[in-house]
Amino acid sequence: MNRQSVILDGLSSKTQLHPAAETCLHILKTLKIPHKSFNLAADSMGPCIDCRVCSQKTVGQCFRRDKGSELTARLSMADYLIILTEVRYGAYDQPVKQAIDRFSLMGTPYFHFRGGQMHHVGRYPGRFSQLVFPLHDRARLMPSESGSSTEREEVRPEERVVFESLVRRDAEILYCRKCMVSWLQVSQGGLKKTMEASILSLMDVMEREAYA
Amino acid sequence: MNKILILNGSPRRGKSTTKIFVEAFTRHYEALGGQVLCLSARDPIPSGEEIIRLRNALEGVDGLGLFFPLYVDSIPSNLLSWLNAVESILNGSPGQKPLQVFYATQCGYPMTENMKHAAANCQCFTDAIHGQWLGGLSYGGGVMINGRPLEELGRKGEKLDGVFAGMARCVSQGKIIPESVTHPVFQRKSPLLFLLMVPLLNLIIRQDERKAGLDYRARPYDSLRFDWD
Repeated sequence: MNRQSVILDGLSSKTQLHPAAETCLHILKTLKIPHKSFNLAADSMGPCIDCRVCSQKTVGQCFRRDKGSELTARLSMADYLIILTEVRYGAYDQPVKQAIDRFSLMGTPYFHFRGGQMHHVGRYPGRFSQLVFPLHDRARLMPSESGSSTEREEVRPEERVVFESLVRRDAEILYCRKCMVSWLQVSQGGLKKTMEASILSLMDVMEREAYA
Repeated sequence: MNKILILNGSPRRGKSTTKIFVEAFTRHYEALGGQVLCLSARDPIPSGEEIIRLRNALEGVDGLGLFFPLYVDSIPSNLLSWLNAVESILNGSPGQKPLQVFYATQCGYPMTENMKHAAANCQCFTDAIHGQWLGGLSYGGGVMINGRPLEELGRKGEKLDGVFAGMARCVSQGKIIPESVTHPVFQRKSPLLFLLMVPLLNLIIRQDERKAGLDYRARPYDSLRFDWD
């Protein structure tokens, strides 16, 4: 296991890294973990339009030749997927979901029966583990003419429950080996400690399993 | 409830099962004397012009219908950005009366359990805009409809039409859509049935694969090598 990690950064802006993204990159560099970060505000990734070209024509590849294609290609060989996101309506924030929608080609058109449910047969099953860092709070949405809001609001407890369940479900359909959610409270500090502990704990579990 | 706005969250152009659902619901709602405005939420990020259209459409509506296909077991990203736009507009208009929100989603699988997150996300959105949640329809097996009009689907189409008639009645009265309305198309079948469906569906896919002369299990990225930071 070489710990190759793909980071989906849904928090940074085009020009400035979010403290959580900066901390995550710093940790990976310090631990000498090979990684590739996708800044979803800067890297152009078209949305999935369910055209089925990836399942019936260019099998396993999107017709778009953009960063989304590089993302899925890297993910197919990665050991870890690290997601940094705000949470809205108990779901990933829009840029992160747009990237995740592109993962549909990670499944083949074939079906199988697993855990009492029908699933698509995975194209690259059980290769990576998923670590999701959602933010405890989010920007309050305001009309564009009133400028960008600096006001933050907490993610409600019921949204957290829905989000964690959604992440587990995604991990199941994407054939992740393990899945972990670690909520981040940027304003209260301790970012490095929380993120480092989560990354190391997941890697430790995976490596123990690999050696067992 | 009289005037409602429907956001059609299907990213597809042309043939679309979501569009068929929107049309069926609209027909029944208008027959009850209601008015339906419909906006396509196809664009990943609504443009300035679309935001103006959305703002105008939201003025004076009593309800909001969210119609969408399931993408990776939740709301497609394009609709999420439109929901953000709705929330932004409503946060900037504190005088707006609370909207009644309902949904209709469908996925290719015949099962409905995998749609529970999408429904929960719609409910969380309703809470975020301080609206009133009416519930809705999670339909499993949308791939069998594949954008065909309900009239061409025989008994299945009639059942679905009846469900939309029931939904329209509930929405027009501002009532929560009970399970008894969506029950006729609710696929709570035995897992054994799905277990038997799998080889049959795989056989159809295998035939299609042979006809296309392709390998549907191909792993095109296996041969690639990347540099990592």
